[in-house]
Amino acid sequence: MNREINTEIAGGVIGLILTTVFFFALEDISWMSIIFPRTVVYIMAIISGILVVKGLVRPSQDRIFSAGSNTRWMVTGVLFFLWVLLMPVFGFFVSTVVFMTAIVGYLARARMQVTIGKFLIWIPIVVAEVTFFYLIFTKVLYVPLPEGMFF
Amino acid sequence: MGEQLGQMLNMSGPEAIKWFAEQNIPLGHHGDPEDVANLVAYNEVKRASKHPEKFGTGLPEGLVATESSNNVTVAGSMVPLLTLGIPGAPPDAVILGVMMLHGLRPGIELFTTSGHLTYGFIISMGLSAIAMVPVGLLGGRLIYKVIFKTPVYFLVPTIAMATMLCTYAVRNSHTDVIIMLVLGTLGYLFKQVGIAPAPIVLGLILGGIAEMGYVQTILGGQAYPYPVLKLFENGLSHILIGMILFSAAWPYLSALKRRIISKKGGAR
Repeated sequence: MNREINTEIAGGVIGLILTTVFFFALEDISWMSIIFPRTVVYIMAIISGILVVKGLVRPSQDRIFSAGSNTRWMVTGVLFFLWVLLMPVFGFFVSTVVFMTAIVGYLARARMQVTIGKFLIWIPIVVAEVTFFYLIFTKVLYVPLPEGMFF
Repeated sequence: MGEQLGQMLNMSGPEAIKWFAEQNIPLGHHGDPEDVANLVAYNEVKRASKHPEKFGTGLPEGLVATESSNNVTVAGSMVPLLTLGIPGAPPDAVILGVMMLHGLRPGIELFTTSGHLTYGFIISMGLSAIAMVPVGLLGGRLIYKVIFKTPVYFLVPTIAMATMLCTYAVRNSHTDVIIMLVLGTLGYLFKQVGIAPAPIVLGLILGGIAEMGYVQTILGGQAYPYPVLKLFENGLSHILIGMILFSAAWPYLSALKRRIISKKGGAR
């Protein structure tokens, strides 16, 4: 995925696609409610068109997905989604401890050799950190955090 | 830190005026001035910078712009509260409630009937700004050290947890957290293809206010053959439109100026 593309054309095309989607979504809206969205859609179409033309007239290439490891951000992203999706099942506390430890371990792998000994240091730190936030939110701010099969 | 402060104090006149304007102009609207001021200040400083590609890497200019504009909104949002009785930010709404509770009616007459209280507000805000200097100088160094010494692999999940908690706490909604993650991923992908996420966020914050103003104007301009002409009727509109056009043209003008200077330098 580490390649060069014309980001002006890419941005313009994305803008035009979004404009088309929003334009057809405006069909069933009353005339008063449509005033602002219709204006924004027209402005978006003009700006996206200008971007595409600019990209064609003065083509320039930009590197995309060049910073850091693509695999790392994708795996971390998947872990974030699993963390949030499993929160109602295991509860906030348990899921956060499990996934934070997993993410710390995964990200640390890029910088050092991960051993069980290191996990034995990280887990208490994660538990202390999550407990701190958990107590602040539930006992001080009275925010009922998701409870799952544990608490 | 001293070097960064020196860098700021060494600004030229126009740079300092631009800096001040960036941080004060977004304050008069109603909504969430802190978010708007942060984003506008960051965006404008990035546009005016000679090295915009370095923004997003912890550059002091970007941090100073967002944080100083954030602080400046506190005083700015008090202006509509004290003079018109319109809270400019959520904390001002609380202050308004307390004032009403004590029988004070915010507005112009507040300065004549309860001047000692009003000027007390203004002076206390000035004092709090001064009190922030030692706190920032002492606390800033400590916080900076703690953050820089914390490994990135701990910072990433900690920031993620804080983001999830705060999103959840707004409406106690798990769905909101999922939406935040989906939009965050989309924002990252958009950023990769050159679409900056800051204007999108700004659109989300200001969209409602802009829609209300625009619809009111169009309805008011129904007498015109083209209702949109109502937008160009007022002198204040002309000034604002001029400022927007100038702001949009500024990067091209400065690039042109640089090109002319380099050409002159080359000719010598």
